[in-house]
Amino acid sequence: MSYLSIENVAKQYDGRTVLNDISLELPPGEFLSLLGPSGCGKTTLLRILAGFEHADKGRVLLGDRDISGLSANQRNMGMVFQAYSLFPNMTAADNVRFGLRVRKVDAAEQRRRVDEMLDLVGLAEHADKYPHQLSGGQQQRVALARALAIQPTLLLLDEPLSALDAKVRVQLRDEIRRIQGETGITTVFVTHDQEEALSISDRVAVMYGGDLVQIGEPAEIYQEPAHSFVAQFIGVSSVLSGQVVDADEGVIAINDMKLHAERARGFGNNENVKVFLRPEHVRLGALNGSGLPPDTLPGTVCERVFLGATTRLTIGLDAGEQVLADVPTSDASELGIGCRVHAGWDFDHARVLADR
Amino acid sequence: MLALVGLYFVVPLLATGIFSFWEGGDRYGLRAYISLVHQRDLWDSLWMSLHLALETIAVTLVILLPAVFWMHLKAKSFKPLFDFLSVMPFVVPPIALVAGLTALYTGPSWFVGTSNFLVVPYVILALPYTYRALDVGMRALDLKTLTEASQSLGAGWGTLILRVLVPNLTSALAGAALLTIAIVMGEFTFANVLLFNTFAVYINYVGQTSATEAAALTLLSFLITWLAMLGVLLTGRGQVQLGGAR
Repeated sequence: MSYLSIENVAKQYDGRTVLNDISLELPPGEFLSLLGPSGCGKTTLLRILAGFEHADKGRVLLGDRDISGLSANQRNMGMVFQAYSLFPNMTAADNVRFGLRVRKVDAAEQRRRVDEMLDLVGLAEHADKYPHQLSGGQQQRVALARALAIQPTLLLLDEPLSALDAKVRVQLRDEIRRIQGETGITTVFVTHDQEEALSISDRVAVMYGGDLVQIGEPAEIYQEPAHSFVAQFIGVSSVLSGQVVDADEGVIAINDMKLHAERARGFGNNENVKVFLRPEHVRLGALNGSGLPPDTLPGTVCERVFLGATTRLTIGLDAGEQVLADVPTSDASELGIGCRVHAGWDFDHARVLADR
Repeated sequence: MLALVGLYFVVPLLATGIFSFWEGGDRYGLRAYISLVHQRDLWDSLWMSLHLALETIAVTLVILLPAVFWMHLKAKSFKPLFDFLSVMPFVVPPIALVAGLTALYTGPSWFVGTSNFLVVPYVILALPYTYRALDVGMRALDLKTLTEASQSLGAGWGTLILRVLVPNLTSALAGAALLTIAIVMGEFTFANVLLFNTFAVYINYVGQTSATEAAALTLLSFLITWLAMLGVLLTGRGQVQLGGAR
């Protein structure tokens, strides 16, 4: 049975749809990330879970209990916010203690749990410091300890890392995952950072324009995007427009050039499609006066970006579109700007999606 | 230039101070002050004004704190209206206010028939200062996040206001309270028209009967106002450090 169920949740603001019939289920102990660009509805969905907003339609169930009508202070959910949210007048320990005092937990148990939580986030020695005496990363750790101290039914993380610098962000990200693993608490994490979502989550739910467009494990989201937005939003992709000419054999035409793409099977003949190619799956070769190899497209190197072990080349295809290709830096020297090349790809890796 | 401006303020005060010690001829002493100390009416009027100041502070905070909090949290679009209303006491002359109030308000005799009635106009008179003090204090806080953080931890509105909001607004609240004291201690028009013998009314009465005692009382009144202002400055220094990270 699901631990948390979101059933057909919809929300509008001033006639504008922010969430469109969202349904998803979380098993106990799962770490789910809601990933998407600004305005996709991910924070609104989290706020509906927290009880700060109420859905126009649909319901939220915790186990088999409908919690849609409960206010935020009745839900027993721990939340860490994007902005620093520690109470400025309280020390780190008092902040962690706040939820326990509200619940009238006895003093000895309060002390024990405050110590335990500050220890868990590695800030036991900072218990008596006020928020302004702590760094941003430390403040967010205290906020995490405060959220966990009440032993919440669900941990909600609303972009808690976005205000931190890159190094601290990675450290805290790993720490959140460790703590979630140790406590086993079911967690919903909102982020617009795909790297964050892919590295930390059991599953990722990608949202776009108020819709939940795909949900799956990080590798699945990256390798098997089921929606053109996911294919473009997650990782780096080149997009080619084409048309299926032989659905049975998996053949598509890009600007009159016929190419094989396994994923074209199952589409209808003459159906317009988009082909998504990861730079690491594009193969390049120099055109040295020899003929064009089968299943490749001719083009010219227009840009080179050194990335260390690899160099990313931008190929302007004769067909008019551009393809990115990552080649080992040692091989890239012979493919200078202006060099004529042929670009092909592994048939299995080209993701073909209907062009809607 | 600054020294000139300083002289403009200091000379009259100094002259008033010297005059308050004048006992006739070339004799100077504390007679005016000793006489004042023995006037029971002075202490009654001083007590009445302090009493009114405390009542005004209490009523102002009970009404204004939740109202300004709610405006910042849920109704930001009402801010121009709040700003406009808060400066109305500057626009409407006190004499018009007091005429309007006496015509408009009726009520039980324990309220309308006693000095407690003055609390109503005093709350209005203090509004420009109390509203602005609270507005500035709340603008310095991320109210939305703090509210949601405390709610997610199980706190209701009462806990939120008493344990989170008030402790983080100590400077703003103290500022509002001390400014209210300064205003109420010096308010004359309302009390005089409504025939209540407040501190300011008593100063005026003494001014008509004994010039040196009036000068001494004026200095005392200044002292109370200055102490209130000093309090505002000192509480501002002790403000809880808000937001940001080390």
